[in-house]
Amino acid sequence: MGKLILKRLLMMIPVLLGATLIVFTVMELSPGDPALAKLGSDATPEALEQVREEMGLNDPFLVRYGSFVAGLVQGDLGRSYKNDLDVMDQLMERLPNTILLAGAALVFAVAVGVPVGILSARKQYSFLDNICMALTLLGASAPNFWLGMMLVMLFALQLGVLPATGMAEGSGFLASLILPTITLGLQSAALLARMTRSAMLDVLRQDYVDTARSKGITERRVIFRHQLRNALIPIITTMGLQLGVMLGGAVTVETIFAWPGIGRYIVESINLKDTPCVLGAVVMLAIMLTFINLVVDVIYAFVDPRIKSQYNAMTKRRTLSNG
Amino acid sequence: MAKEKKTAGSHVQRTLTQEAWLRFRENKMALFGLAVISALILVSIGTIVYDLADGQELYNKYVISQNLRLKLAEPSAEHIFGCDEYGRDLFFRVVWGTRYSLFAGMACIVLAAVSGGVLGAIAGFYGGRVDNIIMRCMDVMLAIPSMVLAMAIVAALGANMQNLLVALAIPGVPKYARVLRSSVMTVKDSEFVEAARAVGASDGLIIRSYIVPNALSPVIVQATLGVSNAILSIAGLSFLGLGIQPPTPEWGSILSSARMYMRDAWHISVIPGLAIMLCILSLNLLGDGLRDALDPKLKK
Amino acid sequence: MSNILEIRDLAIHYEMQDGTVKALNGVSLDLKEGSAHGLVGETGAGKTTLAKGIIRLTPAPYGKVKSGQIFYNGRDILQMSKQELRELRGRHISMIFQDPMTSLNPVLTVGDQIGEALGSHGRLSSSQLHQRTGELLQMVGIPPERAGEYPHQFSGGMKQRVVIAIALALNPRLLIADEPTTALDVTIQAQVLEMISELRKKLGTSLLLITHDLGVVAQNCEYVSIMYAGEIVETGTVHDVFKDRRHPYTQGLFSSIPNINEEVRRLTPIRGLMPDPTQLPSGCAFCERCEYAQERCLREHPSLYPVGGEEGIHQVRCFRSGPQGKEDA
Repeated sequence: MGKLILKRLLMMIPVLLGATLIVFTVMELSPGDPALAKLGSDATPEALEQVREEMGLNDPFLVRYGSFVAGLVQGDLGRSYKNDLDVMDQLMERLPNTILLAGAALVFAVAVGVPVGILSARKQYSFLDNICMALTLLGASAPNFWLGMMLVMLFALQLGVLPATGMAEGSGFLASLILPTITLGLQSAALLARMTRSAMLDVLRQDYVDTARSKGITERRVIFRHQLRNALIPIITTMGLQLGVMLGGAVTVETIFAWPGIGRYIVESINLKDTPCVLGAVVMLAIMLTFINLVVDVIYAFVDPRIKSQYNAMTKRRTLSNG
Repeated sequence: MAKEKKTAGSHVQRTLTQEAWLRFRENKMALFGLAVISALILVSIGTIVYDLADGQELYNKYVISQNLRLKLAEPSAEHIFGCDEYGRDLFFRVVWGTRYSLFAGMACIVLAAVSGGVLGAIAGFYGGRVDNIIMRCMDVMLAIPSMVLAMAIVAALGANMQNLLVALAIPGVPKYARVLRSSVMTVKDSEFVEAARAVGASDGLIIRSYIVPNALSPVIVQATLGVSNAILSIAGLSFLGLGIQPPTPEWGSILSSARMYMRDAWHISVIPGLAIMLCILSLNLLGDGLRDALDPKLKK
Repeated sequence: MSNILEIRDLAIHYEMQDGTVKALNGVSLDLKEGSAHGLVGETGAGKTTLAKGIIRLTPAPYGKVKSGQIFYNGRDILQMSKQELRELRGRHISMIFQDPMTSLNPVLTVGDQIGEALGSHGRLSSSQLHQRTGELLQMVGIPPERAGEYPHQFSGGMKQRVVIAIALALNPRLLIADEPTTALDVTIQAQVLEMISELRKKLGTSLLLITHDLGVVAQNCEYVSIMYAGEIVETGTVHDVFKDRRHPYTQGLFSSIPNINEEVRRLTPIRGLMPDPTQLPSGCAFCERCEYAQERCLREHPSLYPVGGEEGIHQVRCFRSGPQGKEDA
């Protein structure tokens, strides 16, 4: 297993290089002269040329990309064109807030989605099932930015029980986390509930569930040990995918709730045409997403012994051919 | 047991498409989705035709031109959805906005599905090194959250309709490539294609009558669900000010400006959102229905 | 000999969207204590429905028990509470399913799955559990060291051995085996059947063996019932039914398999198909395929007529064996 994780970590490198290349190229295409942006429109051509030279803007594309990657490896993402702040520092300040929000949203989605899905599957076609499925359909169809607005209108403006925006310090912190969490997590909760239901229904009909029942074990044991354990694979897949979707969704949700995370930082930087900041933030999100995918793959192996032995066989074969 | 019971079925010969339609027709929710989407498409075409016929007179008068006297007017008999912050009738704006969401969403999925589909088919059909190169590139693209990649593209190229379509299509490409690649690969190696080869079917016939029909249905399903994602993304980008710009009545951009008036005018925030939700809901129902109808194996 | 199980007039229907499948229509069956009873019929005759119905595993929500009683030791299984049912399953009646590939949970080790059966009734210490699991594996011919492996690491035949070990873990009084060898290679089939037979004799377990293979019944059973379209059409001792085949369907079954003692040029298949279980005819279910069918067979539904036999239990569902039928013939 350790070998597998190591191998997957190594495989992350080309993927991340490719991803940074894509983002770097895209940002290259943006019109406008960074030197001009830095000095303002009344700068002399000589001054502009000097700044361009300093910033390495006159180097060929690949050289600039190379130095960007070299910087990235050392944890240096350059400086903002606008305020000359270190991009890495700014990202590190905001990253925990985004991780916190996405993590809370995932916990919310799992805590709501999985039990609803199990219940619905167990009572298939009942009134309860129909209600749950109708609600999840609506939940999966509501755009998160609109949902956020509705929640703010209801809980902050009408009822006044929760703060509308911002991340509060100290005692108000949890209250300020509630609305962004629900906004970011509700769609995933709905999708997770539907996924859990169909995975459970799939498993419900499997022969080994009959075998388990025919042993005379308790129904609780049948549900958790035999049905849920086997339904976990598709559920975990959905969780992993949803975490990726949440990183994207964080952009809008953080903007609505003025949450000081990476998503809002990207929007602000785009509006300011601050290329190094956008580039740095997007690369940071790509790293996180790749890492999440790796974690999901490793969890698979723990849940499903078939996948684990496949992996083990793979690494074994490789060791043999190497040795 | 379940399999045993199915053997005694109908004896009428039907094509697979007819079978699929019969299954689809059973699904009331999917029919609802189909009806709503058809209606929305008709509305979009209707407004476009209307604009062409009257030289955008109505469009300019009701959808674009401002009337500050009616600023933030609540819904009434005269203005059933109320008016927005510039006194424009929200009903006209929402109805005229349908086409942006719907057609832009469809266009960008067509773009993504065609380019992704071709890449995936090539990868699946040729396998080996070609497959490896194409699919590794797709993996790389999947490593960037699609919304974020789209934002970066729009930010770099500038916010207009064309760039928006490209920006949303590009992150969708890997999905279709994967879907088509896997179905081409399964079909290519399946026993029924081998059987067809064994009785001397040509490559052309095999591609035409086996690979394409079998690879198509997952793409159709994926595309239907993809349109709803694209609509959400367009609305989301416009909401962030990175998509379709005001005064164009795109739903997301209406919502974006509505944020300033949440306290005073609930209707501007609520109604366009409901329109988006109805659209997404119908597409999801339609997509689920298509999946169940096109893939009998999945049917319970 | 007393009866370990008495099924009376059991009817189970599946209520599907496109009609009600009448899978089981008034089946009555007695299983004698300590004996092996074969249940034969073609695919879709209702054999599996009957087997699952006995331990109340009729698939929910569309499977419905319409009528009947299943007496085990004089108590109706269909009336039992969840708790009583749990007591019954595994300890008193257990089951081997058709497809060993799918009847083991892929994410638990085989040792865990056997241990679960052992631990379900009464507490065992973990060392006792471990020891018993090893003994059971040994009993079915699997090295006890393999207890920690997962089902996908076993072959089909080995998996079915594990399933047998699970079924016999608590030494049940009745074992229901639903086509235990259909999914296996021919060479493995014989091994598995032999193992079931031996263990049954050793442990004194009664057996309900479901199969579509008459040869399997001849080798392993003392009694046999033939099922057709959710009904029993002929029942008796194996000797009765094999030597004195009365029902046209039974006769058809025998003439469609090769017999080593007779020189047969061609096998005679039974013509036609089983009737659609959503639209069963009001008369005899077999009459469409029956060469002796008369006008009466179309109108009236025959009941099971006793025709004597070794132990006086040979019964046939055909007018030709009924009181008037004899005169006609």
